[in-house]
Amino acid sequence: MSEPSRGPLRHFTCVGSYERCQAACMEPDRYRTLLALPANKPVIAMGAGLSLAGAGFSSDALTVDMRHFNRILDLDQEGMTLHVEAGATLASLFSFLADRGLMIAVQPGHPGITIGGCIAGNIHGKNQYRIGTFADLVEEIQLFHPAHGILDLNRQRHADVFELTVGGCGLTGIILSARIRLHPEAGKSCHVRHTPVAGMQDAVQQMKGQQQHEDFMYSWHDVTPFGGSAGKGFLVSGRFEPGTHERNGWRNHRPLHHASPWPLPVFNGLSLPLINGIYRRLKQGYAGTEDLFTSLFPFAIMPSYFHAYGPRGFIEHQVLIPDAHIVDYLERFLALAHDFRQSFGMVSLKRFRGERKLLRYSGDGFSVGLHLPATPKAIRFLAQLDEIDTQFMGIANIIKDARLPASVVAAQFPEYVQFRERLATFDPGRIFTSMLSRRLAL
Amino acid sequence: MKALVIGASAGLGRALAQQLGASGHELFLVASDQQDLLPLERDLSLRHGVTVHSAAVDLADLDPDALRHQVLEKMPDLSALFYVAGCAYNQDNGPVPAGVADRLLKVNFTSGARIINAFLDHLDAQPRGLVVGIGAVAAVRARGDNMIYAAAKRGLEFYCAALRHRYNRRPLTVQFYRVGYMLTSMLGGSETPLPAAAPEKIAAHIVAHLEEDFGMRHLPGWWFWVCLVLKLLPWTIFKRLSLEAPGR
Ligand SMILES: Cc1cc2nc3c(=O)[nH]c(=O)nc-3n(C[C@H](O)[C@H](O)[C@H](O)COP(=O)(O)OP(=O)(O)OC[C@H]3O[C@@H](n4cnc5c(N)ncnc54)[C@H](O)[C@@H]3O)c2cc1C
Ligand SMILES: NC(=O)c1ccc[n+]([C@@H]2O[C@H](COP(=O)([O-])OP(=O)(O)OC[C@H]3O[C@@H](n4cnc5c(N)ncnc54)[C@H](OP(=O)(O)O)[C@@H]3O)[C@@H](O)[C@H]2O)c1
Repeated sequence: MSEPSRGPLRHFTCVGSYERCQAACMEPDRYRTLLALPANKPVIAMGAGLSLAGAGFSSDALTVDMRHFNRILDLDQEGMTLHVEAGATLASLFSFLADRGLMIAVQPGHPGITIGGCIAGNIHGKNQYRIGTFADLVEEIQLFHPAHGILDLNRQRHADVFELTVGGCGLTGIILSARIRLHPEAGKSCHVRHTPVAGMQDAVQQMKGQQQHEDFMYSWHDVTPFGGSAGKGFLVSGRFEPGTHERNGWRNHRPLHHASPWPLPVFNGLSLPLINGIYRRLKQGYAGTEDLFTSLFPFAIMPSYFHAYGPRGFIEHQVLIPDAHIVDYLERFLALAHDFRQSFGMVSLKRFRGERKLLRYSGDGFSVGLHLPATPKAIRFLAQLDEIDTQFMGIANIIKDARLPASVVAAQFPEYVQFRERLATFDPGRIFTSMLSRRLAL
Repeated sequence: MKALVIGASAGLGRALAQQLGASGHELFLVASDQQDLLPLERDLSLRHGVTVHSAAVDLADLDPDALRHQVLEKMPDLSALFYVAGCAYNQDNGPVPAGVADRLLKVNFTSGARIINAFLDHLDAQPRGLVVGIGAVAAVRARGDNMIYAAAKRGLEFYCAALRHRYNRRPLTVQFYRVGYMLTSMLGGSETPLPAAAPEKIAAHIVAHLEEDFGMRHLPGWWFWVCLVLKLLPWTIFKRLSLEAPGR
C-alpha cells in the first residue's frame, strides 16, 4: 500500500458551509502518483480549501489535495521572481521572503491560502487599485492535465491556456508550480488608521480622493438600524513603514477550521445589529502600528469570526460595480437592505483598477463585499440584489459566492460563453469539475 | 552534523529532512525518484541555506558500495545515517507474489542492514557517529497482517539492537524507533483503531533527541503501553484480535 489510494470519502465544505458534499480525495506526495491520474475520470485540485464556494470538490469528482506540493524551487533575487509549487501557503512564503526584503504584493485575507488557489481564483488583496490582482503577478505556470501531460504556460506559450488558467477555478488542470513576480518588501510594519465616514457614498468619495496616497484602503460599514440608512462606518487605510521587523502575527496565526462551526449561530438577525454597532463605536477612531503580517492577514488571528455564524453558515457576495454607476448602485443597495431589514456580518468597499477578462473578478470600479447569515431571507435578498448588480453592469466574484446561479453569471460576464467554449476546445472531455463549475454550467 | 536520510522524499523521511535542514545540518537525501528529490533539495537549500545533495536509488535493487562511494564523495565527513524508508502492501496477509515479498524484505530490512553495514566503519571513525533506524509497532508481536513487513521490521530492529551492543564502548550511538500509525501516504487515508500522528511531530521528537543513547523507543510514547499489553495478552485472546485492522 505504498501508493496513495483514492482514500475513503471525505466531507468537504466551503468556508461559510453553504456548499458541501462528500467526495473521494487523494493527497499525493509523489509526482509519479499525481502524474498517473487517469484522463477519463472527473477530478479537481484543492489548495487549502479556503474558498467561499465549492470550488475544490464535487461528489462525482476526485479531489486532489495539493498540500504536499509546497516546495520553493527557485528564487531569482535580482529578477525578483519566485518559482514555487502550487500547494505552498502564503504564510510559508511570508517569512522566507521577508528575510530577503521581498514580498508577494497581492495577498488575500488569510495566510493559509495557497499559490494554486491565488492563481485559480485570481485573488485580490487590499491594494488592487495600485498593484492589480494576482493575475498581474503570474509569469509562468506549469500545468498538468492527464490528457495533455505537463504544459509550460506563459503569456506567449500556450497563451490561451494560460489566460484560462488564471482565474479559471482549477478547470484547466492541476497547477504544479508557478513563477511569481515579487516586490520589494513594502515595510516591516504598517500604520493603520480608521477614519469615520457618514455612509457608503461618503466612503466612495473619500476613496476616490485618497486611494493613490495609501498603501491599502478599504471601508467597513454598519448597514443596520444603528448605522443609519447610509451605512455609517470607517475607512481603513494603511501605510507601510520601515520600523522594526515585528513578526507577532506570523507567530500567532492559527489555521481556520471552518468545517467546525459553533453549535449555535451567535451571529444572527438579532445580535448582528448590536455587534455591528458596538464594533463600529470601538473601532472607528483606531490608529496604530501593526506588524506587516497582521495588517495583511486580518482574519488570521480571529478564526472564531467564521464559527460564530453557527452550523447554517454564511454567504459572501462580492460585486464589482463600474465607477460610473457606483453612486446609483449604492442607493439601490441600501434601499433594498432597508426594505428587507437584512442583517450583515460584514459590509465593505474596495476600489479596483484593471481590465475585465473572462470570468475574473477584475476591472475598474468599486467592489462591494457582503457577509450574510445563510438564511432563506438572505437568499431571497441576494436574488434581488443579483438583478440590481446586473442592471448596474456589475460582475460577481464567482469563487466567493456559493449560491450564485449560472444565469446571473451568463448575464454579467460578456465572455462567459467564450470561457466555456475555449475550455471545451482545450479539454473536450471536461474532466476538471467542481460544485462551482456544475452550478455555473461551465 | 552531516546526515544521510534514506527514504527522504515523503512522509517521515521528508519531515526529518526538513527539520534537520532547519537546524542547519548538511544533508544527503535518498529515495527512488529524482522528481521528488530535486524539489526537496532546492527547497531545503533555499529556505535554510544548507548544502543538500540527493541521489535516486531503488532500495530493491541496491549496490551499497556504490551508494557509499557516491555519498562520501560529496560528504566526506558524514556523521549520521537515518534509515527511514519502508514500504507495505495490503496483500501482505497470506501468500504474495515473489516480487512483492522480495521488495518488502529489501526495503524494510536487508537494504537497511546493508547500507548501515556499508557505512559502519566510516561512522565509527567519526567523533560522534549516529545511526537511527525506523521500525514499526507492527513488529511487536506477530499477527496475520503485514506479515513479511513486520518480520522485516523486526529484523531491522534486531540488527540495530545488535549494533548498539557491539558499539557500546565507542562514540557511535545507535537509536531505534518503533513508530505507530502516521498520517502519511503509507497509511493511504485508512481508518486506524488508534490515533495516527503527524510525521512532523515524530520527526521533531527524533531531532530533539539526537544526542541521547536510549536504545529503542516508541513514538508517540504511549505506544509503549499498547505494545506492552499486546505482548502480555494470552494467546487465547490475542488470536481473536481482528486481522483486518491495519498495523503498520
Ligand atoms: C478568511 C478569508 C479571507 C479571504 N480574503 C480574500 C481576499 O482578500 N481576496 C480574495 O480575492 N479572496 C479572498 N479569500 C478567498 C480565497 O482567497 C480564494 O477562494 C482562494 O482561491 C482560496 O485558495 P485555497 O488555496 O484555499 O484554494 P481552494 O479553496 O482549495 O481552491 C480554490 C480554487 O483554486 C483551485 N486550485 C487550488 N489549487 C490548485 C492547483 N494546484 N491547481 C489548479 N487549481 C487549483 C481549486 O480547484 C479551486 O477552484 C478569502 C478567503 C478566506 C477564507
Ligand atoms: N505511516 C505509518 O503509519 C507507519 C507506521 C509505522 C511505521 N512506519 C514506518 O515509518 C517509516 C516511514 O514511513 P512513511 O509513512 O513516512 O512512508 P512513506 O510516506 O511511504 O515514505 C517512504 C519513503 O521511503 C522511500 N522508499 C520506499 N521504497 C523505496 C525504494 N524501493 N527505494 C527507495 N526509496 C524507497 C520512499 O521514497 P519513494 O517515493 O521514492 O519510494 C519515501 O521516501 C517506514 O519505515 C515505515 O515502515 C510507518
